[in-house]
Amino acid sequence: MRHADAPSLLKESRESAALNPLANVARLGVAGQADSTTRAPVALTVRDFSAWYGSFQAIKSVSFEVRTKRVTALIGPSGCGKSTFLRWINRMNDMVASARAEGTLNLHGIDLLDQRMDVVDLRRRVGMVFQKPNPFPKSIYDNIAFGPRLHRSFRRAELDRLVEQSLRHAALWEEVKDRLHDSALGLSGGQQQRLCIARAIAVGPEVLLMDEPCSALDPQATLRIEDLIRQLRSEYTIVIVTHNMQQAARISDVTAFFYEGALIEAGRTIDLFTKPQKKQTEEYVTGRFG
Amino acid sequence: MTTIQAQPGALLPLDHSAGRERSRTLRRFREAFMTAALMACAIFSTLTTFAIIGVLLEETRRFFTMPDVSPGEFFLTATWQPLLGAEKHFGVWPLVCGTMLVTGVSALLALPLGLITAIYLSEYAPRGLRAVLKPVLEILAGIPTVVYGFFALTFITPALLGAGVEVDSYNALSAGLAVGIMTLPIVCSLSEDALQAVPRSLREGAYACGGTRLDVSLRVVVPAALSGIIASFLLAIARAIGETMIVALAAGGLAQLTADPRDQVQTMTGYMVQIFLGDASAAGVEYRSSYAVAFMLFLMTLVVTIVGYRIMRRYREEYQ
Amino acid sequence: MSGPDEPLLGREKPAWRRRLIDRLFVIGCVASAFVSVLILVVLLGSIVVRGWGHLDWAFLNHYPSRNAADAGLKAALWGTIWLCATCMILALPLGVGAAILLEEYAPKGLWARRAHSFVELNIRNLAGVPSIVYGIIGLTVFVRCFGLLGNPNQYDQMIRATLANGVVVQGMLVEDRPESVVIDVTGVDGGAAQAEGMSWPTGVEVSLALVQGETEKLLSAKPGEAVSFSIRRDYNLPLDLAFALAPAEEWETPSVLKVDGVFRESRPGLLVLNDPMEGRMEVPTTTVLVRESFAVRTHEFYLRSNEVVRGDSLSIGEKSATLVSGGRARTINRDDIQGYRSIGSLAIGQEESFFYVRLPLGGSVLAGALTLMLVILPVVIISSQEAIRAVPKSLREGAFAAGATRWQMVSRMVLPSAMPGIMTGAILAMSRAIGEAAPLLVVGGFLFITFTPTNVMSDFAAMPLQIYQWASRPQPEFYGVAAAGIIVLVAVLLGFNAAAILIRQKFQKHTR
Ligand SMILES: Nc1ncnc2c1ncn2[C@@H]1O[C@H](COP(=O)(O)OP(=O)(O)O)[C@@H](O)[C@H]1O
Ligand SMILES: [Mg+2]
Repeated sequence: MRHADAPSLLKESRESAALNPLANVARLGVAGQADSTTRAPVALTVRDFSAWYGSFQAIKSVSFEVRTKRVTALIGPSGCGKSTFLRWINRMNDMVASARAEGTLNLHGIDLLDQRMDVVDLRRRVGMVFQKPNPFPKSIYDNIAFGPRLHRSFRRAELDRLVEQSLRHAALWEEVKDRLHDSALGLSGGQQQRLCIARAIAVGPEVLLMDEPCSALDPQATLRIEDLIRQLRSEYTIVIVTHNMQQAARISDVTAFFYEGALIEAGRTIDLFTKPQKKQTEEYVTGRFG
Repeated sequence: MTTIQAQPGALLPLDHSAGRERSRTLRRFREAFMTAALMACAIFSTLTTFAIIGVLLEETRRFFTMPDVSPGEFFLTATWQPLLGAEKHFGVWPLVCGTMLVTGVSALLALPLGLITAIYLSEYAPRGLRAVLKPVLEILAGIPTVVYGFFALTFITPALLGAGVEVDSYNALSAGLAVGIMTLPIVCSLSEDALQAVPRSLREGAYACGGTRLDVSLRVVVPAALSGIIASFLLAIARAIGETMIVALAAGGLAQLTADPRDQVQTMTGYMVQIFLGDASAAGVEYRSSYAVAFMLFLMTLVVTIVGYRIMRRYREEYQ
Repeated sequence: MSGPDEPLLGREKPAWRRRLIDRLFVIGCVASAFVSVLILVVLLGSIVVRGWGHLDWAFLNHYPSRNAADAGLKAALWGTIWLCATCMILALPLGVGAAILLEEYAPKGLWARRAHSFVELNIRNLAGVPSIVYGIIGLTVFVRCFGLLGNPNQYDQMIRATLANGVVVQGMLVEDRPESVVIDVTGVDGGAAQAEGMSWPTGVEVSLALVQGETEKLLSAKPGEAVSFSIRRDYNLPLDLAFALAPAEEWETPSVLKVDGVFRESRPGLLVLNDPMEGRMEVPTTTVLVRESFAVRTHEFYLRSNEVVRGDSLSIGEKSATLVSGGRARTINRDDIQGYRSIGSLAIGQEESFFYVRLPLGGSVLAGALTLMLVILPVVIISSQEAIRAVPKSLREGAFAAGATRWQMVSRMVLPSAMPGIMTGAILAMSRAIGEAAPLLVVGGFLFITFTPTNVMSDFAAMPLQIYQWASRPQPEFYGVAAAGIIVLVAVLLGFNAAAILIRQKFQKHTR
């Protein structure tokens, strides 16, 4: 198993992360991240991908690969096109009238830029968690059941089971099992975000997109989400946008650094943080700009 | 610090095979159907406009092709006598004059009063007073116009007579005042919106220059909100032009060219009420004439409304 | 910059003056702001003082009457309830649907965007159209259906005049004046031919009025020449026979008639009616005009042979009448008829379901409700748009990300969240509909109605119309009645406003 010593490692990393996250990277890499990172099958192929809002080019001819059941982190300064990229993977940009894209974006052989594709089917396979927790103004139960109900019809017991499983997977079950039918708006920010993750995985996606899932949370809630992401790695392909390099270092297998719409560098997280190939990357990861 | 039970192996993978898959065809069909239905709803509102224009145009055309009627007479002469006498006269100006007179009186009351109230509400009023004034204005806005008409007829006119103003028992003055009261909340709430849309930074800048509250309100905020205020005036005037029940009750039924608001007048809307209440036969020329009058009324209010919204949109763009 | 010893330019305004002006302005402001409070107090006060004495349970439970003390609001109250309920059922889905399309279905492509902004602009302009213009559109489109589907008044204004020489003229009632009646014979089956083919004997003065530019022919008949007039609701319901053939004492005249009067009594040769405007009215049977507001269910003929024949539909020829009953027709020679009785029922709707519809709509509840719908549709759309816009974008994104289609997103996420806002807007729109008089006046006219609607094709009264009618009467006694009506109307509206405020507050609490 890849994470034979996961619990101890997690604990350790969490504690030292608070002190000196970058120093931690090397150790993490040595201990946890094997070369299997680059050998996992490709989930998402990106070739010469460019995206526009009207005449403004937000992404400039990006190419790289996202591997199955790995965590891929997208880092870069604000406005460099990370969210735009993420939102093209499950076509959330269809909601933006001026958005348009070119190039290749291919998920397990499906052309994601095909105008005729069924975006509903796509979104079932590619779940998304947003920057600000966005629980629906419904009960906790109905929040989780929302997605499954859209696509399948259930008997009550089946749905109960699915809701429970999803909440367990999101490490929220123990905290909410006694108030499943209370409003989700009563949860704390961190709980709300885990609820949103549970809601996303309840639909049964292969890929989970997370757009700065922790930036609206306090440090403690952030750590819990990070733990959760590490657990989910065994089942889902995760693409996470983060502003926080330490976070990328802590949780990701692969990191891609975006700058002004261009992909500057992508590679194993440990490599990117310890021996960046590009000067801009080095400056960014060492905090000299951005 | 809490530690969560990180037991990756303890959880079974999610079982997504439970339940029955919903039909995709049905989903697509429902989606297309609902889109079409919603589109039909939106199209309906557009059809209303076409119906208004179509019906009024056609009936007006028919009116002008009737004997004894000509557009020349309609627009260029000033005798409106469709019902009485051997010879009928269709010169629309007395009706327009009546409408203008009533609208003018209402504007003199509602515009300044509404604007001052709006300035007070937006810039001065303490919370408590706002809490009284806002509902009062909302109630005034919600009172049916037939009630204002009754008020004009049974209270304002006697009160004017009591105050020594020699008005007819039906007169443009009391109808105009009642229309003014009716449009007051419109002026007030739209102007207040415009004043509130002025950014705080502008006010702070003016205070920083040592302005009093009056200086800030009148020299900075009001000019900055001017287009919104003018829009509110125009929309209120459009309402006044189209107001029907008040003038039907209080302004009288005599179409005459007069500038004295103490006289009895007939407005365009008042004439339409008289016709549709059945004084005229359905096939007659006077019945058709009401469509021509309605068309004119429609065009007048439409122009004023469109100009009003144009101006309003400009001020919205200014501060967004 | 001016140096220390350079004199300052301009004249210093004294500080006390600025402060004084500021104070005065505030006082002026407060005074004028409270003018509105004063107006409201005086308005409501004067009305309550005038109307309070008339306000009692009986006022809500009585039908209108020519006697101010008996006049009540019952028909108007129920009419308003029917109108507004029908109106909201129609306007709410249409308005919310249009709002959803405008807010949630972003247009793609140039033409779609243009159409979209045209519809937006159009709705704003429609909100500014005077309500009486909507009334005229309602009259043309709903009441008459552009005249394409026959005359809406055929049901209650069909007139059949039997002249002294026995000639029967049948047509639409155009106008009834004290000294003459104008009948329009166009469009009635056989009517035009009948009028044209008539050879008028010398000595009988009947004039045929031709309106130039139109194909309508107007026939004028003077009272002395007409044996009887009556107006039928339907081709097959010849109430005229009741007056033409039956002895006066035996008339089964319906107890409730509309427009011209409420039946009071009948004496030989004379019909006594209560007229809403004129008071007591005695009408010689030779000039009787009856506009009945009920449907005849059964026709009974009393023949000279002492036989009684019943049937449920009737057609009338010049010499004979054909009575149909259970699919069998029987023709009766007119000379054999001794008496006739039509048995009507007031409760038209007892057999017709409440949503029974007939075209053209005529001055019915449905026509009135459709017209009111036009008036409030822009209000409903604009307020629904605002409510929908207030739903946070993050909820939409969440629903989409879970794989919802657009309609699923709208129906399961946006609509439930926006519902309180939509309901608040709907209630305010409804109070607008309740208070509207002008469009109803055009569509329905004001009728003297002494029944409550039973289906959407019933004639209607409405509170604001009734108030207008009372307020416009010359007798000042009715001012008190009008004021009492206003108290009821305003109380209902304030109730609705309060409900809207409560919903708004409750909603605000929920989103906390
Ligand atoms: N809906 C939009 N319309 C127009 N421009 C947009 C839109 N969303 C984002 N942008 C622009 O695209 C660029 C990339 O944005 P984004 O992908 O959100 O950046 P990031 O998530 O990396 O901070 C920014 O310059 C932003 O201003
Ligand atoms: Mg972003």
